[in-house]
Amino acid sequence: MSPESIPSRRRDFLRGALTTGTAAAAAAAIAAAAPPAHAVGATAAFPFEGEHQAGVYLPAKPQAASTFAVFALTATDKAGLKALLQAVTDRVRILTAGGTPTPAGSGAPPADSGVLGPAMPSDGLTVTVGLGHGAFDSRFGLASMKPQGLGPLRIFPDDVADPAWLGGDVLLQICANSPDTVHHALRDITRHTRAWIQPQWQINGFVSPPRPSGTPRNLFGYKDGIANPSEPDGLVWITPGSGQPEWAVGGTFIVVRLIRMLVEFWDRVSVNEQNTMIGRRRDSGAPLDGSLERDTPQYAKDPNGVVIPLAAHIRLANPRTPASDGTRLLRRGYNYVLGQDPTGNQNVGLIFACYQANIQKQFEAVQERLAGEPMTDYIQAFGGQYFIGLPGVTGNGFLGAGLFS
Amino acid sequence: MNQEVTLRRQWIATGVAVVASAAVIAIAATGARSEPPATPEQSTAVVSVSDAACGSGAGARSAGPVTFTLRNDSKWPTEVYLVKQPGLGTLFRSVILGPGVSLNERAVLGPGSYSFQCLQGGQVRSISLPFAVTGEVSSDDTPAIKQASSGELQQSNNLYLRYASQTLGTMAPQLRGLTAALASGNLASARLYWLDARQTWAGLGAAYGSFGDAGDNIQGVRNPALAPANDPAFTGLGRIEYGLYHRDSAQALKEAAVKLDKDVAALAGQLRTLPLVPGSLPLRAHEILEDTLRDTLSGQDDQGAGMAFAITSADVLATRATVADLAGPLESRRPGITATINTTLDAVNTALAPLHRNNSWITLADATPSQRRSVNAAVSSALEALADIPQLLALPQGSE
Repeated sequence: MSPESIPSRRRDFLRGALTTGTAAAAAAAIAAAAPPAHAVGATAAFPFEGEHQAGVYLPAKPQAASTFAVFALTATDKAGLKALLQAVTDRVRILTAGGTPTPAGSGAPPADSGVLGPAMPSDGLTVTVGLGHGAFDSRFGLASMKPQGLGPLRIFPDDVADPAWLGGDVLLQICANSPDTVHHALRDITRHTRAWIQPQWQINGFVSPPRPSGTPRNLFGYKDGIANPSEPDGLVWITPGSGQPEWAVGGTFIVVRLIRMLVEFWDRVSVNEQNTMIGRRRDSGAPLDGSLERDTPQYAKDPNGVVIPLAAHIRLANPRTPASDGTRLLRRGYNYVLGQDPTGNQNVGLIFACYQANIQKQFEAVQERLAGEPMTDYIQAFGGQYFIGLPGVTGNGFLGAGLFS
Repeated sequence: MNQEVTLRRQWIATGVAVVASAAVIAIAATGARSEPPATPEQSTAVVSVSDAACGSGAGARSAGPVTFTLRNDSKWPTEVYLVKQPGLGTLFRSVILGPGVSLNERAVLGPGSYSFQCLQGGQVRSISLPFAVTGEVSSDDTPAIKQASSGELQQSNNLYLRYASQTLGTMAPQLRGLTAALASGNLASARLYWLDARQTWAGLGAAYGSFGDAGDNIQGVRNPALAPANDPAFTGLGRIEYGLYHRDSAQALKEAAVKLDKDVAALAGQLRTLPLVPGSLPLRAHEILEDTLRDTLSGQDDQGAGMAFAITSADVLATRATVADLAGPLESRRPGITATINTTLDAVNTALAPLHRNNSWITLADATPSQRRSVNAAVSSALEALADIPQLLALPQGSE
């Protein structure tokens, strides 16, 4: 599919030959991401130890609340980075297990903020830790261990990059069933790590409840996240022999991309046009050639895009061909709300987080396919970063231990 | 609660307002009634405080975590400590319990002999018979911290007042230089003298409110509802900074400098004999840098000079001085703590080093985000270490 063949971009009349623009890294998120978990309860707990970190495939449905907190490393050497990762590991182990905090005694302030009450519930908490390319610069002596393809977030032609929301060395992706549990975890971890990391940007997200059923809706009103690769498909975790450093095996590349959704503009567009931009029906979530949310689009039967246009978001993002199969990625989308902008519009959108074994062959390949799609006019990607999600921890180890062995 | 905040900020004992009475705090403590109980643990015990006995109900038990429900069955507001024998180090201090009030306190008990102490009006009134704890704990047991006394902290206060008096003495020639520079209309020179004096004042550890009105007049506190030029109560270093960076006339600023000089001389005259609140110095040890982070590194208290890093540097000096003055009481409770704290303060100086050459400083606005983060990281990390000082040296409630 070449960009020139995209037929229906609404603004093409005004923009002339703009169809060659690569677009909307954002867009991949908008029509997808796994259905979220609900009513998991305060006692829901996901084990910290494992071959892989939680917060990617575990739990299968994203928790209702999240924050993506990104930090700059203020540690100045390898020992500082190691101390950071050890301290983060200690805290995440304690926080995800839940329980009554060990009392600090009379010689220190309280050990815990008390935000979750005297006995903190695990509340479905997961904390997923990633490192940006800055952790592999000259400060820490780890340049030779830098994963291939880990650089700054690629800026695509239709993005509206805002430096205040770009970059960062350390990602804490904190997800839980309630926002107070997310806040509590972030506050606890930063308390124990102040010397080594300082906040760079942070955005909170939520997953809506099913309306009325099935996959939750994004802020365009569409069910978002219907199709994701399963874990046995082998597209997410870094494996031996993939050309990545050995320490990274069991990890995954995390792309965080902040996508504003211009909802006022969107609301002034007919639902039929919305449906053809997405490729699904707004009411049911069904693909335009089906009748149920879970129906699989039959693109082979519609080679000219009569029913599902060739430039529909779901068709560009996942053409369901043998060639595109390996470009699929795991998505966990979170809606965000940041108030208003100077024009009087709401500043809302999607925290698009995706997970893959190869950033270039998966995330970037999908974005290149989406270049110039009709939905581009209604979204603006403005921030984010690429991270290497660290391998999981087994036994008494710590996150990123393989960097120091 | 407002009263408690005021108490904490005040150094000078100036009468009823700064002397916490047990009764006043007891009223606040009744708010604890609505606190939900802690989740039941393996080991719990109800401990009664009565007019006849302190802490009946705590029998011999196994080592490990325990939740005590403290219940005041007496007629009097009572503070309850769990102490370890011998030495009577404190594992926890309750708030003051009003009559009829219960609350939960937790500790991890290592093997040994323990008692409850009951205090009223800051004085130990009774102590329970010891109870034995046997066995081992898997995690760290709660440390027993020797209770601080007013007399012990008075020695530290005396050390501090000597330091403060010497420091304030160095302000006089700086203010004379400032006045002379303003008299000759040399604003560039005046700004240098102002910075010297501002740093000296910060080096005193004069977190706002520390010296009451005398301190406020020297520091200069803005009325946020008024423009600085129309705020007659806005004086001292802050007002002069504002004028130096907002094109006020040198003559008008000279008058402010003369008044500042008088205010400093007046405080210097009183300083050695100021009756400090005994427990204030441990609070000051962490509040100086709390103010640095909140007011200075945020840019909130800047009046135009942008000298946040220069002031931070002086605040570090002041913090070092207070920690040094408290070193004896601190080290006897947690050996090595002053070295640990000084390491964190050294890190602040390391972060500040690229931001100045001698006393010529980059402004807060000109610093890169990375430079600001380095300073913020070091200051906030130091604060985590300093936060233990007031806890280690807390006086019994009502004894201040």
